[in-house]
Amino acid sequence: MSELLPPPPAAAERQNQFVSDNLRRIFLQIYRIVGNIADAQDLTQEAFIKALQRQDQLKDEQKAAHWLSRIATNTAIDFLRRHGRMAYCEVDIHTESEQHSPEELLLQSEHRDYLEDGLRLLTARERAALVLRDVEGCSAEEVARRLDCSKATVRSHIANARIKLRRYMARRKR
Amino acid sequence: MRSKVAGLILAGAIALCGEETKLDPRTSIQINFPPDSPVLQLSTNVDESRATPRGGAVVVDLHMSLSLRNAGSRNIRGVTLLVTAQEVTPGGKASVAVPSLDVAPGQSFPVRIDLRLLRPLQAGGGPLVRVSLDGVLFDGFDFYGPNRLNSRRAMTVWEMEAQRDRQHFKSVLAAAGPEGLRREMLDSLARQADRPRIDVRVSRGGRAVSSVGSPEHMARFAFLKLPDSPVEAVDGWAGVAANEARTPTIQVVNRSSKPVDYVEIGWLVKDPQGHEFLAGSVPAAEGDLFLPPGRTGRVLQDTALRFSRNAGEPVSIASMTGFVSQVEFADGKVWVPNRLALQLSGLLRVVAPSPEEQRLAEIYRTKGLNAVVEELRKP
Amino acid sequence: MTTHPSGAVLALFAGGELGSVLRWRVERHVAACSECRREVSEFSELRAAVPVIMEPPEISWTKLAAEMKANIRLGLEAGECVNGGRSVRHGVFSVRALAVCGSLALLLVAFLLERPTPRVEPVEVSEPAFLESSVSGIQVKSGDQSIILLNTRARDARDVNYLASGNAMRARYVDTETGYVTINNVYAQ
Repeated sequence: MSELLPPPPAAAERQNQFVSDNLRRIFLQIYRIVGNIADAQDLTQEAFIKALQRQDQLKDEQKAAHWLSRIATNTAIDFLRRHGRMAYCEVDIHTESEQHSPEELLLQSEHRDYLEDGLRLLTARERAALVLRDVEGCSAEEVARRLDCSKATVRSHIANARIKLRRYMARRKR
Repeated sequence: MRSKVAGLILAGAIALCGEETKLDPRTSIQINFPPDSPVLQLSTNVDESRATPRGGAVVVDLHMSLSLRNAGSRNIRGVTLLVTAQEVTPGGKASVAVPSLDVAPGQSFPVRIDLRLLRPLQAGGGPLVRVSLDGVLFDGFDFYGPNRLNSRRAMTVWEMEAQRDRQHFKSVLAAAGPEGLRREMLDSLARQADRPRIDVRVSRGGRAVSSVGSPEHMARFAFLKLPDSPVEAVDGWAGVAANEARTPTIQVVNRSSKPVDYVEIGWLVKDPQGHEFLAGSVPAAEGDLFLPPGRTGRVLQDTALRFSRNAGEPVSIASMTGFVSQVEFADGKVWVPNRLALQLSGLLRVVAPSPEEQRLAEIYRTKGLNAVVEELRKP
Repeated sequence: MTTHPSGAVLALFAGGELGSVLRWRVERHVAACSECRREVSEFSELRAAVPVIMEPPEISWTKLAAEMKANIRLGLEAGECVNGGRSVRHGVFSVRALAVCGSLALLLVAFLLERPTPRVEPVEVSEPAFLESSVSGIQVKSGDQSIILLNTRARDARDVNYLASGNAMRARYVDTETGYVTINNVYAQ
């Protein structure tokens, strides 16, 4: 069997630093796509292992971070496509004594549940495009790079995602 | 590419040979224990393992006997191994756990893995099966291992149940002597034999396929309250159609003074004739639940369960009951129901005995009462 | 713009994804059309809500991060990579079986080496995986592939206790040879 030789200490240190620097960001990115902490944990680990197999790609720090993000997005999308819907666990925190912004009031219990249900209607790529654009704030060009498709396709994914969500929310209100 | 070639050579060989062939453990199985593992692998035997062609597929029967040694400094109470076959059922995995151990440092013990893989002839190369260590539980509930399968919690629960039930049988022996213990063992065996059984098929999300034409309705759970449970199940429902139940959702409240980060709800179903079965359990999704004291949360599962018995006869669901079967606090401590609560609630006759009770009952059956008494004398 | 823009155009307008010319035209229309203005407002509200929904609940990050780092290190050391590094296994079968099939193997290799290597697409499994208990054991099955953990070491089928829990199925029995309790689990991911 071909084995991975243990890296020399300096390389191991670089690997550890790479993981520490990017772990939370990548975990959140994947969590927002798959919506489940357990799966996000597994997929985050998988993405880092894939990335760290290719030591040569990690020399340029900024490129490495971009490239890792791309691996993470693809790993999450592939997972969603294979495995469909996931379970959520939720915590209702009753904090009547706190002040809420209009957005937080909007998202209380029932409305939040509906939105989460609505997110499950999206395809893997629609969800990923929505996350990258509306949560991570990536430009359409960056989303296209991450998803390895054209800007036109990205716009189509984003538009479809927003329309599906809006229609779903409108139906639930009736 | 090379592994694809190797896989096709394998496929061609099986197809041409058309006969059962022995497996070579050096190449079919990969066993990975970390370098600092307190459990060492002494030997592996797969002599009885075979690969057999069947139509366009290969059936691999793997019968593996591992001999492991406690290389640590404390007694081992449980071990869990992770078993994966990535080329078969991508993402599919399995585990084999052995609880209720009492292995002293330096002692060895066996673990058997018996599995059958069904894979297409054209599947890729690589080891058929990978075995790795997920966790070891020691005396005092200390744990070692990557814990990818949450084996720490599972083994802690089994160990707590073991201590609970050993204490129960010791009390019976102390109060009623050997004859009292004998009656208790016979009761345990009778409960095991009489416990109603049900077959369950579980699929992720959506319908479980079979009950076409049966309208689905939302059915509410009733709940059994166990007196000292730190968490209370207060409401719950599932989509029910004939013999299928989908997406159980249960609201729970933390009645204790410590934060809780995991709850599991036992799930009983009753058929129209009044027979009650343990359908399964509804666990909180890992890492997703955190209940400070007094707070409410939800446990839900995006699965569909289909119930049958006697080789396929559907079991219709007339009603459902839930009960809190285990709780893990944020500090890692675990709660399980006490024996008296299980008895008074009637759960003792419906749920399976703990692994330790099952082991003691088997000792009684095969070696007699004196062997059980000897066993209970151990710490 | 006398006709209303499509839902897709309004959705993209709300997110600022339209090109400048189209954006200008839609802006003028929306300023004069209350219906489209309402629709854009709904899209904007959803855009604002999505990031909040997608935040994970409170978790113990330190514990989770430590676990992930340990697993990444283990995964690298154990060679459990997903892409690349797949090892070639030789001699899965006995020498005799390989000798009989040797000439066919050579032909297969020659044929494969001639063909261009296709890009491997992820396999789409049409039927989702499911878990099942039966007399012989518990299985996770996906399409035409399955893993079954067998109960062969149990004294009797009635001595096996099954439990379906979340995405796992469990079987528990006493191994007649060792006397230990064995607990098998299969998981569907």
